[in-house]
Amino acid sequence: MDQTTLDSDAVSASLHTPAGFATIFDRHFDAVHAYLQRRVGPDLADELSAQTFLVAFDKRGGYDPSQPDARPWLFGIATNLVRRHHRDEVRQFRAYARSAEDPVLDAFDGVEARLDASEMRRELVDALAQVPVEELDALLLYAWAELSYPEIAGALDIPTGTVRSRLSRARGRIRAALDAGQSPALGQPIPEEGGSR
Amino acid sequence: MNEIDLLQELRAGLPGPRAESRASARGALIARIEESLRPPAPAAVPIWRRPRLRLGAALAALAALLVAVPTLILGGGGEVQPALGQVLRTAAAVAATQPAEPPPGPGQYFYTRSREAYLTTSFGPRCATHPCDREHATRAWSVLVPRIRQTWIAANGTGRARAVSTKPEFLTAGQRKAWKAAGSPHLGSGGVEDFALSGQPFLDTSNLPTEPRALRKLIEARKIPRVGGPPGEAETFTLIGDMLRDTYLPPAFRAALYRVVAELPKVKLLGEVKDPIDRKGIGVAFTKGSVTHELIFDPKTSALLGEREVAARRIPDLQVPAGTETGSVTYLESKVVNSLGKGAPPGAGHLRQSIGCYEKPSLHASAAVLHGPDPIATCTKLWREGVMGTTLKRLEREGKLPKRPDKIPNLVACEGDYPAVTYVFPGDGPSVCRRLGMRPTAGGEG
Repeated sequence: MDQTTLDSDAVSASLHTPAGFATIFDRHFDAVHAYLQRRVGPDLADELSAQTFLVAFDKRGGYDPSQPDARPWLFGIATNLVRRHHRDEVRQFRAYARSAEDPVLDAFDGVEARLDASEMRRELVDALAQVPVEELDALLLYAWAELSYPEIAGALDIPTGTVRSRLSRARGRIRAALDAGQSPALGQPIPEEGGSR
Repeated sequence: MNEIDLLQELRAGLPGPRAESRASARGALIARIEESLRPPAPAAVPIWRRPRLRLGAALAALAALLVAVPTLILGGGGEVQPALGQVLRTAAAVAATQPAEPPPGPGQYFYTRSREAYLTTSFGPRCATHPCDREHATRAWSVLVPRIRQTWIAANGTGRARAVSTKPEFLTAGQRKAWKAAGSPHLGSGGVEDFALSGQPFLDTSNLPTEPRALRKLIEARKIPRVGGPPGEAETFTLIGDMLRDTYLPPAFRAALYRVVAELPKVKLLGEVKDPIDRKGIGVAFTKGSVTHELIFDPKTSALLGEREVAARRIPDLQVPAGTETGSVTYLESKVVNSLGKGAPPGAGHLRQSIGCYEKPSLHASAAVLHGPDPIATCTKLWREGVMGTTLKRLEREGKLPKRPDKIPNLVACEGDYPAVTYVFPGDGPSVCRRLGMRPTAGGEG
């Protein structure tokens, strides 16, 4: 793969020579798929990650050429698509919290369907099921897609300050839920910024 | 351990996407990319005038891939059928008596409305990620996507083209299933395309002969500006169809075209047939390889009512049985109007300079079409960025973009038949333009 070109150059070039957009796919498909798979399981991830790149191709004219890395843009599209399935996502979190079996892990053949007896983890997913979707998007882009605050801002098209407040609220909710479960391991304060990685 | 650490452990270390999921997604993207490439480069005859023979092109591509060129089935030997000659001479006589339509004046446009439906064949995801050989081409689907096309053309060639596609029609339920199994990739339906036309004037017949033999010679030598194509009798028949399709033609010239068709070998008279919307007309046909191209005209006015492409025999690689209509165009309306209609796109009605940057010194090479003031500088930038020199096929075969060219070739800018297009080719001098039947632009060497 030709890694010497920046994503922004490859996207711009694809406006003249659309075939070049395949390079964006080759670079980022697995990462986008991994993020979606973690959120909604492998089957829906297959569908949504394919859609992500179709939407990206159609909207490539609107790509901000000052952004060298296309990941925030792609994760933003993927997040918009997954939002339509938020109810399924919540249902899966709830099922996990109730039964200690993660439906996302169950969906894999060959991956041992582990019973997760950790009370703390069940409380975590129960809390995730109650986080409002805007906060959940910011939180999972941070924790799972490993985007920085400014990148999340770009992905969700919101100001960085809003990212900060959403993340802070989401983390506060989770901490409160875990504290209520009195898990002794959690006692650390929420970092003030955590800004760029 | 804080809640972020805990979250990061959740569902960590899952396996990556399955190879077939990745291939299917990539196939869908490639199909979308290919679809976006469909409007032809500026060297091709404008799309509003010539939405033709997609199946033929698909077959040619397949033939090249399979290295199994379809046997040509040419009917009837070289003789012209006496009845055909009679019918077409009558059509010519009728054409000659039609009143000459006045050309659109300043601020006026020639408006046409037509319905077209072309069969588009796609291959399943395996073919998008592997060479399209016999094994991988088996999961194909063919779909007709009907479109209503409207055009507004001014005398200087500026104007507007609008096409609205409607619900796609699969040939068989099985093919619909194959499409679904491939993840229901986009079929190019349901969209509205509306764009400005620039510099694509009507056929200028003022310097063309109306004596049939002289006209036929010019057509066969591909010497008529903007009426060009590959050699061969089938293409000659198609080119005449292209010209007849242009309803803004002097009556004497229309008559001459019918007389030329009457003399072409291998043209078959179909007699009375119905056009795609059931209007009665006289049909003539030319079969080349697997495809029969029919022209249907109105015996009372000699106007072209419609065209149709039919599979002359079963085409296994495209999963199309004999007799399948693979494409049709129906001409519904034409008149001179005083405006570009509602909601015309910005720039419609104004001349805009286009630049075609070609990969090779050939009009059939892949090209990037863009707009800009300096053709050589614009194309040089593309070469420097590594955009030129890539082709979809190579990209697909290697699964990556080729490396940037080490050296940017010398570029030459040429003027051709379209005043609003500058053609830029790699090459060492103005002879490149002349070899392609063009003229070098002033200061066009880079």
